[in-house]
Amino acid sequence: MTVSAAGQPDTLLSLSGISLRIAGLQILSDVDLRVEPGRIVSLIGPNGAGKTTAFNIISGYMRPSAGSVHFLGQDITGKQPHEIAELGLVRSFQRTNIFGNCTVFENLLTAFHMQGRSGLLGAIFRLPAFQREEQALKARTREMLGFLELEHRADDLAANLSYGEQRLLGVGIALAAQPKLLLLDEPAAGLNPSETEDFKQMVRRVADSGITILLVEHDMHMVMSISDYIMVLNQGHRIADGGPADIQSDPEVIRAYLGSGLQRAKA
Amino acid sequence: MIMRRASFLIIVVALALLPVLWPDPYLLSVVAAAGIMIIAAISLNLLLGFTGQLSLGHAAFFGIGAYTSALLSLGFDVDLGFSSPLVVEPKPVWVAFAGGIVMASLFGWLLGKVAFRVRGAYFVIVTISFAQVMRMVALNWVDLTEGPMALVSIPPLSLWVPGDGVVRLVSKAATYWLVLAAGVLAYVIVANLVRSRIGRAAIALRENEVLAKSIGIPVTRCLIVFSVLSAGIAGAAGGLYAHTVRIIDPDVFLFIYTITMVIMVVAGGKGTLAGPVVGGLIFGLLPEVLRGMVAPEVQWMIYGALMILILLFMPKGIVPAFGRVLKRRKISVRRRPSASQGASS
Repeated sequence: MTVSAAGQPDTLLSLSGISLRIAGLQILSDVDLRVEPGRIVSLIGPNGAGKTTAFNIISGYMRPSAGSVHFLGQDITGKQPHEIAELGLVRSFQRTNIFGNCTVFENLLTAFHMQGRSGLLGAIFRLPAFQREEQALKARTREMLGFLELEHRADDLAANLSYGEQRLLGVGIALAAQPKLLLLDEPAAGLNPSETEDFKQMVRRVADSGITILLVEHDMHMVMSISDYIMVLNQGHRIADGGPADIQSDPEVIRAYLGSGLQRAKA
Repeated sequence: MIMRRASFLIIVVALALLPVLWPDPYLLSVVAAAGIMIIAAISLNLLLGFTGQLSLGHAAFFGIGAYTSALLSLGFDVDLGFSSPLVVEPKPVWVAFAGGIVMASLFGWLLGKVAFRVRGAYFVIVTISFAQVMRMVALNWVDLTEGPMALVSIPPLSLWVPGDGVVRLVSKAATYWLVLAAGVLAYVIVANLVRSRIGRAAIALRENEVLAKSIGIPVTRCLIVFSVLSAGIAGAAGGLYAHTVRIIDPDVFLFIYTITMVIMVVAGGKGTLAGPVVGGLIFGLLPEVLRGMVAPEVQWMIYGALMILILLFMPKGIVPAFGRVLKRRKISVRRRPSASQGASS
């Protein structure tokens, strides 16, 4: 494996020859993808193209029929989701993305699970090491609340937040797991234009803090304006990849997906 | 935080003073019996309330704790088909008690390993079957358990008291204090556990298992830890039962005991710390209160009606319902600052 001057491997995540067949249906066929550190990479395509399935395979919720996934040079194909999360590959979900009956503060505190070490005895006997760790985790939780600008909602139940705030919290939960690579599954779905704009700014801030982002999104305006690299899937096949400008002028992408939406993105 | 600790201490001290202020042996034995069920309910709440898994075989852990502890303290010999029978000499009572906890935890681990591969309705069925199998073993392995003839003259727990030497805890007051101490210990263990990293992990998987996995929570390991602890505490409750009632028969495995625990937890408020205590006090003492007043059939009807009413008007249980009332009052006080000047916190 080659290592760049920055001391980081050239490829953070690589998919090679990923295929998935379920009950005779070819969901993904021979998909390759390389995600380089520090970039925002987007995965786009029409509904049913296999984007979310690709996410499920990368994050360990599904097992591919063929091919392999490498993260930080390590083969993670078929590992459990929590093991993959421990390596620093964390995802958000389209819908189920919060712990509804817990407060916003508790949601984020829970999400710092991997940043804690304390065990059973420490918890039961409230040992000093446990207490210190709790204080440290709570401080980091408050910091995260500040980053998400959700301080005023800290003591509210997550289920009572507005839709946009819930999406924000969902990303916060993923961020609290300290990812090196963050997978965002349609984070802007259902948001109004101003919420989408806020969300885009936040994704930028996350990327600026050194976290690589892999994004599935239908909002072409958002995708085209923040992505460094885009891969287009259609019916389980990769039909194009490249920078936003290349993708927008690719005839096959326009035929399969962008169509009139392109005019909107340019507008 | 400080308020919470203070009120907890006040309640514990008040409960501890009960035998002094009101030394009625009948009352004390009734409250002690309810206390043992409350400890069992606390242990069930650990699984049902915090991890969200419904175990309908919880009486099995209670019974395993009771039988193991009783048998170890009485000593037993059993022919396992080898050349000579296995002979176990009577052990000191506290050693036997600890043995009961260990054995129940072991079965908790086993059940956790097996049953958490199947979830939901399947898990419930596995737990019910487990308790039934245990009851059959206790009924039919007569060489070991005396079957329906019951295990009798189980020695009581004893304690070394400065000045008095070793005291056998047989008086009603001593039994009451013993159960109270065990109950407070169980409560504190559960309270500390659920307000910790591992407790939050359990709640996370109750709330949203898929999301919990995505932030690195090892779901299976977490469930097994809770299953073991829950079974261990239930086993301790069983051991207390064996050494205070001092006679046990296979009926300790009856489904009705599991149901009683579930009612206590659900009525009190599952997933809250005080829930099983409040629910346990109501449904543990109610039968005794009603006994003097009405016919047995009417007792059960009142019991059932009360349960339905509680769940109809407080679907999340008594404790969350009152918590909401308190919160609303706090908010309304905050909104009228002139009315609460000087008294505001």
